[in-house]
Amino acid sequence: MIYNPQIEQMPRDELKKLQSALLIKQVERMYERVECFRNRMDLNGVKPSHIKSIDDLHLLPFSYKKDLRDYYPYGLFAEPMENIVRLHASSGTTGKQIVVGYTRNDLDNWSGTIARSLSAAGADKNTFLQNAFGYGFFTGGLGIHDGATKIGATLIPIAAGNTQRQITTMVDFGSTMITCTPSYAMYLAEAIEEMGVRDKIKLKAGIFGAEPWSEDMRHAIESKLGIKAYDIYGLSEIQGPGVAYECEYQCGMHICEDLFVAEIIDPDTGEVLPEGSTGELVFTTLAKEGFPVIRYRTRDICSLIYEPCRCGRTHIRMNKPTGRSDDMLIIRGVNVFPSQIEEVLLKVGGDITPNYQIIVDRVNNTDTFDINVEMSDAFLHDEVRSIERLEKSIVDELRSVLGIGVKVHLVNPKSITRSEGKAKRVIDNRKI
Amino acid sequence: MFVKQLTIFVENKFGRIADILDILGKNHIDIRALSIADTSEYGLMRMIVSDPSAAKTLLREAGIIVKITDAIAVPLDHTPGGLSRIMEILRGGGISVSYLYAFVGMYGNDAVVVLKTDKPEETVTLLSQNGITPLGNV
Ligand SMILES: [Zn+2]
Repeated sequence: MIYNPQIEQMPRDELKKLQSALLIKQVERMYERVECFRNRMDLNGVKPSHIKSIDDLHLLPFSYKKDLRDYYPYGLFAEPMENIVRLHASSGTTGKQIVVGYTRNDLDNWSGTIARSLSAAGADKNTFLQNAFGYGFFTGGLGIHDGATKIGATLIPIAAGNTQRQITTMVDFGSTMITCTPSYAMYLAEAIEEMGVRDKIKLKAGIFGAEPWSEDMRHAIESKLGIKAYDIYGLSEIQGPGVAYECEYQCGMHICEDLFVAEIIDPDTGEVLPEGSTGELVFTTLAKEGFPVIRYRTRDICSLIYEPCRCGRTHIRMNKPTGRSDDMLIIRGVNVFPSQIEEVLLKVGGDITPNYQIIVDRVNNTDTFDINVEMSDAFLHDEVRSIERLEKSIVDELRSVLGIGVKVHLVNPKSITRSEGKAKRVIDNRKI
Repeated sequence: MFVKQLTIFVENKFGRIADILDILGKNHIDIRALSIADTSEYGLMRMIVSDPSAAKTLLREAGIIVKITDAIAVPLDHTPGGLSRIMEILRGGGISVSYLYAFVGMYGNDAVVVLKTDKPEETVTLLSQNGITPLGNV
């Protein structure tokens, strides 16, 4: 079902007019209120008055994840804090977390995009929606939550984890739709099989996101659970989930273009690439009040689909991101940057960063996360317990910085593979 | 009053200990006492050798992580309860032992115990007061 036909099926020329009007307003507003944006505009010699339509978007400066750290916590907000009604946080590229804020209108628009996403996957007021995304600072849980309430579905806010309870709830409450990460969906599917309760569950569909997954994984989830598995896209810097979502044809995610404009650029030159090219996805938020961004570099690599969709929605679609233009890893749905690990090792190792290697794999549908650290003089001690204390402090520090558990192994010096003299930092053995 | 002890990081890998002993043997470095502490992931080899600093250099050149630390080497009476007497003295002085390993024939035919405590200086003083003189490197 189409939740908001007026918007979702808006003719493209009308949509373009709407985007242009919103962009002009947004640029004026941000130039006035966001110092970082104003400085970059001035540096490029661009004035808000130069922006006459959405076609002028390419004149505007890019913004980056690094900005959120440089202007932490509220330096990029475009509303006074009294108008901010919600904060969400996630990990930055270094140890410091990043924070975004929402006004009441922002939350309303956000839940509107979730309402579209849920409806496109077949949800309505008769749906029993088991929301197994994490609640809290992570945008997944509360994002889906508000959208589900908007369409009047019966929301089951179970949050992430506790598989036994997930399945019991699914059976007892008669859940017909589930939202969680795709790897957790696989995990649940296998647990359901093991418990032999497949015929007791009423699931018809699921919406999965927050980590990369493949068509093969979609087919596996669909056949194991007997459901349709839909993809959803979002990131907290833009909004959270619901920036783009799949319709019943499952052929790319419709971008909510009345709120977000997408561009595909060459990550090295910053040039906008021709329609249909694969490159880095860049988003501009047209209506965001609390934390608006212009030309935000998502670092996700993908392409856009401009052909009209059979579902009747006029908004363009994005293909699943196929990679990153930076070294970010998504482990158990959490963003991990090698630079964060380096920072922790530096801190614990007393100003010397030892050689290290991150090894990621997927075992029983759960990501494993190991770090090999080359032993060095700074880490060696004649008492085992001192070395263990050091290992524990690395593990604890990483857990507090990243929010997920990791195993640390001390290995012999020079044992980490090097190519051209440089250690290979990440080995990702996951077959997604 | 302290002996120089080598601590060597030993990755759990086949033949690792043999490699280390081979380097020392070939270079005529005599091992006087040796212990290996093992964890599930790696081992720590501690040893008293004839020439600690030469041994350290050789092992380092072979890419092995090694450190020299101080330990206390105490001669043991050839009478029953010799070690237990030492432990009693340390307990009386409120000193805890982090690790110890004993070796026979380190200095002639006598038994020697190598130990590390939480208060090295006090340990030496206390033992001396009780007529036990810790050994140095020979
Ligand atoms: Zn469609």
